[in-house]
Amino acid sequence: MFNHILLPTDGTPASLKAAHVAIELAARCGSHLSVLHVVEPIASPRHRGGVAVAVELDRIADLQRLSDGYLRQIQELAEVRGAVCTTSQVTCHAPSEAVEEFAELHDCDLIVMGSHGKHGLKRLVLGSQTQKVLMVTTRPVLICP
Amino acid sequence: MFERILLLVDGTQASDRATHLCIDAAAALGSHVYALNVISPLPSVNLLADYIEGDICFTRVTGRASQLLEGAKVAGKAAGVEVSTEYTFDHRPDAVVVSRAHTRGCDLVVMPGRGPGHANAFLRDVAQQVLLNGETPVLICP
Repeated sequence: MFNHILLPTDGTPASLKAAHVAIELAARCGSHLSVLHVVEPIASPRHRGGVAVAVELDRIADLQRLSDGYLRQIQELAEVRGAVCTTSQVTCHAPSEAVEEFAELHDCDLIVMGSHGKHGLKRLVLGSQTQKVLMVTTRPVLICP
Repeated sequence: MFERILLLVDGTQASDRATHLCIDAAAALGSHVYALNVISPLPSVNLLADYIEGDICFTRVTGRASQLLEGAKVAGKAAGVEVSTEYTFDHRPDAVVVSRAHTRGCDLVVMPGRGPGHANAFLRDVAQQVLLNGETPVLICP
């Protein structure tokens, strides 16, 4: 049914919930699971000059270290459940486009994503990246609240 | 996992794709499928016409709903999946989906989405409302 499932993750509790669903689905359907974390560089107001660039690079390195932690956690969960799983990390300013590009490149037939927390104002709107992915993708998207 | 799946059928091409995906998933996971069609309540002029002429409009819309649901049932039968069907009248399909998913203990909702593009970006999106108001994972087929 699903040959290749893509799980974009950002380390939030909602995306961890989506990870559990994706892992279980991959294990039950014998699918390959690709976990993707998009590191979104934070734009610096002082982007010109050597010092500012160094600060920016430090920030990206920190985000990549955090990302490695998220991906390792999901890979361990997948290994425990016996699902075939690979992890990837890309740095991009537009996570939704990176997700669609990855799905296109690797011919994924399902995207599993988390919505976000459901308290206060967040209950009124979907996560912005989830909404953007829904706008651009031509693939089925499984969203876990 | 996904023992009971609620499938929203609305007659669009995306809905056909959602039906096939849902039946495939149900066949792979051994799930039971509840296919649901939500009909917009008839305007008063149609109700008056039905009163005078004898349920012509009612028969037409319910006949169309039954036809759509029958399509899901036939697809299910071909794949060896048990499919229950229901149509109901309501102005808010999202509220009906959330309510039925809860009362029937469904652990997945499969429904058609709008597809890519921004043409309808400002209209009320049923899938989005189901996600925001429900507790069940939603599989959206563009």
